[in-house]
Amino acid sequence: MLLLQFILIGISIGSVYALIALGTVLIYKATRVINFAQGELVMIGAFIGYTSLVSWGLPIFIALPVTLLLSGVIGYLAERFVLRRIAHGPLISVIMVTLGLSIFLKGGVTGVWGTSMYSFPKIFPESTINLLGIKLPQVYFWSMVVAVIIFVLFVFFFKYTDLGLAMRGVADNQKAAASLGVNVFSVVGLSWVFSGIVAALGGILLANISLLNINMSDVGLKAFPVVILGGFDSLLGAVIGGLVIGVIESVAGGYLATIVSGAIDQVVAFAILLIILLIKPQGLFGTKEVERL
Amino acid sequence: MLKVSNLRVAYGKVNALKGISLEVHRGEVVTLIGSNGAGKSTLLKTISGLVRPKTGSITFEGEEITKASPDAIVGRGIAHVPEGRRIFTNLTVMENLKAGAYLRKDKEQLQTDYEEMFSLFPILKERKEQMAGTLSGGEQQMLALCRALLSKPKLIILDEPSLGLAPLIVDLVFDVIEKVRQTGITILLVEQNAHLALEIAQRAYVLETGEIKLSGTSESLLKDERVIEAYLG
Ligand SMILES: Nc1ncnc2c1ncn2[C@@H]1O[C@H](COP(=O)(O)OP(=O)(O)O)[C@@H](O)[C@H]1O
Ligand SMILES: [Mg+2]
Repeated sequence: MLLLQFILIGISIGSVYALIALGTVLIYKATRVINFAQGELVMIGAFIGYTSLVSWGLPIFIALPVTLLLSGVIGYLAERFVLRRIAHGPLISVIMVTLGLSIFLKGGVTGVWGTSMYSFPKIFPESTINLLGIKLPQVYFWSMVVAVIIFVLFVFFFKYTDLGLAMRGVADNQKAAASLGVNVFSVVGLSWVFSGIVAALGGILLANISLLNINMSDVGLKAFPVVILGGFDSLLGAVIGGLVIGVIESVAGGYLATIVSGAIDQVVAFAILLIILLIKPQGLFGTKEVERL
Repeated sequence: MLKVSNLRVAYGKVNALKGISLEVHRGEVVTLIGSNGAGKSTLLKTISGLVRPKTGSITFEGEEITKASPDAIVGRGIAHVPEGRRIFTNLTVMENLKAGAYLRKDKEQLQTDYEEMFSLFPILKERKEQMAGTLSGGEQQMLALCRALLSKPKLIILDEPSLGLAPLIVDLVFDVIEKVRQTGITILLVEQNAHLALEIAQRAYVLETGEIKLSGTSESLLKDERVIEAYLG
């Protein structure tokens, strides 16, 4: 029973990791850029959610769209005014710029919201939900639901819409997409907008699970083992990678923490990362290299 | 229809085009021949907006397109089948075709157009759901051509469609180019295979190290000694 409980909690937390990783994968797919600022987007999303709920006193059904909209705008601005300026530069420089962006965003958040702990208003009922005989706080359950919905939406978007097809084309071969009349910059911009939105969703869920604070951006570091495990360009990989890392972390934390002192759960993700990099560098679902504009 | 004037393009210190001027008229097939590194692909990429010129101008149907973005240029009716085909290898054949029609407004017409492509290339119909990367070189070339045609271009520019293909397949590709010509689409064709190119084209330009060295009707160039020696020998 204890094991099942750890697994369910792992799946819930893993769903949040999956959401965050989906954002990373979207940007990677469209541009081959690994976005080191993903964790900051998550944190900013949570802070915007907090502000619209608490400071502006908006009801959740207005606060949520407002938060997602503003987070999408932040993603858009990051692409439009930072990344696009060096879009044709060497890949490594572009990646370094995302690192710079993460520091900038973190600084900005510190300026606006400071470094103290915020207690996020509970947006889910306090009651527990009974899942496979385990009593689980509602927020854990809803995290899974949100992750599944977002994943399904993305799959639908990529498979059945023209814009989704264009985005996959850009991911496959930017020059070819451009030569067919796809505005590559708009598509790349859109991937950042989506990424900002899913990051904010992840942030709101996380803030409901734990406290809200500037250090929430550290969860971005979890996105790396997840996408490395799943393969940088696979949506399904991000989801499965998120769940696997979440479960292993939860189970390892649950059992080993009593034996080994220290935060063992925080180490396992990176231990997995190292092993994966050694045996299957392209990840479980990843594909080969693709050409960039 | 297409007018290029005094176009100069440089990659860093390398001057790839040193003042090119050429014209393509409506309904023509014009070919550009020249050896490797002459600047042929650079010229085509500049026309389709993928490379920016240092100086010079490009007009299409009387309108300036020198600074237009690649998608705007496709929107005006210029389709570019790039060298090396550049199909989307991780997308299916059908998805590649759909991507070709990305800017089309008349989506209800598309089903008929797909069928038309499939009747030209039955093999593509068979492979519809297959990843395009699994197609043979010839099939990929046909897919690239179909994909470009699906944008309903007025001018199609083809960069070495015969490159790396078996002779039999090359003939097939050129048959299709001939069919495309008959539908009234204007063609600017880059080829290393000067025989084939001069056979299908009415006029030709010879490009050497970024400059136009010769130009004229295909018949006159087929008899030109310099052309015979350098490209037909
Ligand atoms: N992306 C690039 N960067 C630097 N030099 C290039 C690039 N593309 C082409 N060149 C150079 O420009 C010249 C013309 O190349 P290209 O247009 O590809 O010739 P062609 O298509 O006739 O073989 C060559 O000297 C080539 O090395
Ligand atoms: Mg070339």
